[in-house]
Amino acid sequence: MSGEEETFGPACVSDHCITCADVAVEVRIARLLPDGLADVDTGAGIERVSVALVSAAVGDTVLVHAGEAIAVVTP
Amino acid sequence: MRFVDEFRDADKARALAAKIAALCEPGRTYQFMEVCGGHTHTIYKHGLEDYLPEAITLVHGPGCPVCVIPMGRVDDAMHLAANPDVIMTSFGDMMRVPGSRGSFLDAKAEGTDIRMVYSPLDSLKIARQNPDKQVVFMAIGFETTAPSTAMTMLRARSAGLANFSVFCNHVTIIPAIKAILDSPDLRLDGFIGPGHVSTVIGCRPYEFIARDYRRPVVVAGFEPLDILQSIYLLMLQLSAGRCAVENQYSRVVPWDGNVVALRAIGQTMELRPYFEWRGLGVISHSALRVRDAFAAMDAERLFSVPGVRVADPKACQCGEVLKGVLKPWECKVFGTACTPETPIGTCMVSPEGACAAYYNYGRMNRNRVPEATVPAGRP
Repeated sequence: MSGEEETFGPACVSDHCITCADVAVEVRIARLLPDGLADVDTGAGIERVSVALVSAAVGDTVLVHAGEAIAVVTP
Repeated sequence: MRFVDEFRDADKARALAAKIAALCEPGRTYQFMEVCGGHTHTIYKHGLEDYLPEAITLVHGPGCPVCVIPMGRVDDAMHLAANPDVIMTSFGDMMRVPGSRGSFLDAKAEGTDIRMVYSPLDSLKIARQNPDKQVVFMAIGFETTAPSTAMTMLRARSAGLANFSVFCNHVTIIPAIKAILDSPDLRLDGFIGPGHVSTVIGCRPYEFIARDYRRPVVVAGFEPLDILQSIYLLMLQLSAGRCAVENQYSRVVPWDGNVVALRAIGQTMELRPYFEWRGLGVISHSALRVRDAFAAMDAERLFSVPGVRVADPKACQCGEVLKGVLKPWECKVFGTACTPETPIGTCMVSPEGACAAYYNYGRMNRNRVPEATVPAGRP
């Protein structure tokens, strides 16, 4: 079990909870893709998330929870 | 300047704390509940309690999705995962939540196929890669993660994926707040409303708190100044004898929420007649289940789920902590038998659990850091 715990160590000791995530990943949309998906700039790299539930354009900052953008951040 | 720096300015924090202290009526104490575990985490990470006058107590609410999952549901999920045809997928913070026979992580170590995902979209990918297996997503969380589960179900349907299903444990925040307001144990003066849940449900659902219970609500952001400003707004309302719902986090939270996300949830899920919450017991219409129209994606219907109720370990007082009746350090096993490394109760598992927040940031007792505290009544 200890070996397994190490595998998940980084996720478990991270600063926030994935599920509701207080720092909840504010990311910038880099590229819109078909099927409501987008590549977003997290500051640490590019990730693919769903933007199907918000109306956002390239350059907008969105709040992402569990891979789903749920709000657009107003500057 | 990073985006967050302006929300962490220590001088502004001190100024706000002084304004809060100036509004405290001599001899009166104030108890505010921060509903969301994310707020609990910020408060202890940044030591905000030390800035507040002694007259103000922050009570930690039930808004940590991992913390409110009862042991019985973990056991049910383990039962599902034990099926050799199933690949169970779960958020990382769920992996260590103890059921009565260990956690997902323990089961994984024993060979059960349980995989950690960041998003249910990852579960879809696993389903595509493993067409001969049934991939079950352990769905947990409030209205922040329910949209993600809903969209994933809609995507699975339009992609014609037949081997993806959801073990739905989504809960809704409003019935939990109502249960707390109706609980005789607790006297609260106001609520720091959850920020990210409100991006989805908006601010209107809290109006009953102001109207029927005469308590102010301020929906708050997650940076230190957001929380201090929200407490200040609560104090302003109280000192003016007002009770209203206010939105401090308007840079993210629209007053009406995210209508598209609510529609997606409504399309795929419906309210359960009742659901058991850890610590709060059974609350009616407080959780979501998969709609009949999506029955083929409902793990509870595809597989037999025992549905047993399991009592929490006797030593664990998560229930009292979740209701705000006990402070984490008042629990008998806090920091001794129960630590983030070997949690007994759920509140010690997630970084947003009150116990984990206290433990990780060294809040082992009621003592505050005196130099940071502004005496009540001093401007």
